[in-house]
Amino acid sequence: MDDHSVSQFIDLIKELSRSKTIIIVTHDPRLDSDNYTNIILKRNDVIINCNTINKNKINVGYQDKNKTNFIKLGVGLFKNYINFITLFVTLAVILMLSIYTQLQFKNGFSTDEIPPENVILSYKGEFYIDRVVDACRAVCGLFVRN
Amino acid sequence: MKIKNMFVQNKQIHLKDVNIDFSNIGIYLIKGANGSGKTSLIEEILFKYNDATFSYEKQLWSFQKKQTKFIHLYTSKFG
Repeated sequence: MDDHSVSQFIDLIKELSRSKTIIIVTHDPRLDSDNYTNIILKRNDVIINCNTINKNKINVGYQDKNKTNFIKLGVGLFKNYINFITLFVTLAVILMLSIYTQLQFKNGFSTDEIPPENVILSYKGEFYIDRVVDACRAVCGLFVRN
Repeated sequence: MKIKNMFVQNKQIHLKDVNIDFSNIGIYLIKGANGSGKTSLIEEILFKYNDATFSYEKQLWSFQKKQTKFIHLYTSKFG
């Protein structure tokens, strides 16, 4: 194969090797890589040297059997500065949202002035106004401001 | 898939007690000089050797089912 085809082939097997076991029999030096597990056969020798230097080891055949390691996942966020920036921006957005929510709550409450000392009840509404006024007048005999 | 104590022999090749662990997902590169037994080894694994051990029964079933459908890529001799 020409060099371009070899590079395409390498890309293809790299993509497939994420979920499959791929065994390549070759003596093409263009496929040599430290990322693969090299099984070297020596002539006139019965020994097979297995260089298990695969950096991306997965011990179990099926990926969906593996449990997610959330600690490693969290530590991985700080390994890359781009991840750190993403985290910082996310926290900033959460902070701004919380401030905005607080302001919304504050605006939702009544901002009436504090009543003077001789007023014992301040209220808003229309449904129970008459009953409340009558009750206050009957019990306390004090002026009730609307 | 794990290969234990496999024996490969023909007119030129004598390989004894071959132990290879293919249980990790990834790329395995079998390489060597001409006549060292690369093809004989993989043919023995795929079509003759019946004592391979698998992590899951599902893998063994899949291997046996696809045993006649393995891809063979024959390329021109390099160099």
